[in-house]
Amino acid sequence: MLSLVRDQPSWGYEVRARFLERYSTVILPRDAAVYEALDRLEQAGLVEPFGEQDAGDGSRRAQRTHYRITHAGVDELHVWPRAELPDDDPAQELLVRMRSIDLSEIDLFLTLLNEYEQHVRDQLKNLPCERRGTVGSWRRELYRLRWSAELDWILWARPYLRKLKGRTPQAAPT
Amino acid sequence: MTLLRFDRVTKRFERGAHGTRERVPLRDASMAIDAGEVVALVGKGRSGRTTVMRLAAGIARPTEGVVSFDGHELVDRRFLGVPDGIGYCHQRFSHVVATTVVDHVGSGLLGLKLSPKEAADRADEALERVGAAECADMDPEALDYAEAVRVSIARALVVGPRLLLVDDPIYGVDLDERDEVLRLLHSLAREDGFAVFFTVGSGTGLVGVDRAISIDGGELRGDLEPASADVHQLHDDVRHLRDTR
Repeated sequence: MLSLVRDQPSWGYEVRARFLERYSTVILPRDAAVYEALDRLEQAGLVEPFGEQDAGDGSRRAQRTHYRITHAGVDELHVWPRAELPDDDPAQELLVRMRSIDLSEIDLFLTLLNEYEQHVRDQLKNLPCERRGTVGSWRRELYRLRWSAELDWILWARPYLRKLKGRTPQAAPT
Repeated sequence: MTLLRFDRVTKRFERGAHGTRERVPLRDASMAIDAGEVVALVGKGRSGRTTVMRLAAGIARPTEGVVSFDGHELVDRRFLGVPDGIGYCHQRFSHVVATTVVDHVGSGLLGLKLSPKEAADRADEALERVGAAECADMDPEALDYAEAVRVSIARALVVGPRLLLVDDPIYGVDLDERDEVLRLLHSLAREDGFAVFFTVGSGTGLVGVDRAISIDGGELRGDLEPASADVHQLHDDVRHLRDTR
């Protein structure tokens, strides 16, 4: 959300449209969630409202609050993508961050990917190598195949990002 | 005790008519493996994983850096296929060498001045240890993937190595059988004290290992040192990136 407001100061509905355009393959929020998030960002001092413009039809209801990023918000956008991935659903967090990072920062992409790969490798090696046929082994196989697929994805994504890096000399927005 | 060590190893191959281009299957790689450990190297095709195995066996020489076994550089001394040395398990069985499994397994003992009876007994013991006793009189070409892996391990075991290198033991082996093969590798480390280092092309082969390393584009990542000293390297990298902003 913050990166979208940074890219283009705007009002809730428009930010929501861009949010869905960029992130809907990764995360699908409730209708109200985007507005709630803007409120939270405002309370945290990361965005601020500026001016109020009506929608052009003269109705009060349609007045829009525009938001722009604050200096604290700009600082936060440098800190957040570099923070350690959370234990709770790190894959989704990784994908969201990757969508929010500027393509010129592919080294940061790669660092995040390396961090996540460590997580995936640890998950796999910590699975027990036990005899088949137990109820426990059904669950184990599910996780094993899941983590293995994630590792395949990482081993595919890294060379892809490296190639992209070679083709991206200048900053380009995602 | 560290058995195998890679110290800043790079391997280059010249390509093209006049060596004008080069392929670098391994770059500046450092890692170590201790006795009694099971370490897996996961990587896709052409990632450099087979090059790592060949360097570890002493079959290939590093272009830069040092590969050592038990403190001796592999360039100076040969450890492959000798007692207390390195056993390299690959699933190729040439008919020129022998036509039955037991003879293939016994072939590793040819240089050890044993009687044919002693050699056959040790080959049978090794086949028993890996759970392939029933394959002894078979033609190696008739083995399925899982049996071929077991036999290849027996062929290396029979000489009495300290380090076992296993090239893709789960290739072609279905998911159920994979665990049987992996459990064998784990038991060789836990019960017999071998260092076991194997490659896999899929994360399904990483279950239960002591350490997992990955390779792509010739770069190693993951738990490169036995004491896990390098595990925190990634977090250091992240912090460094943060600090340099």
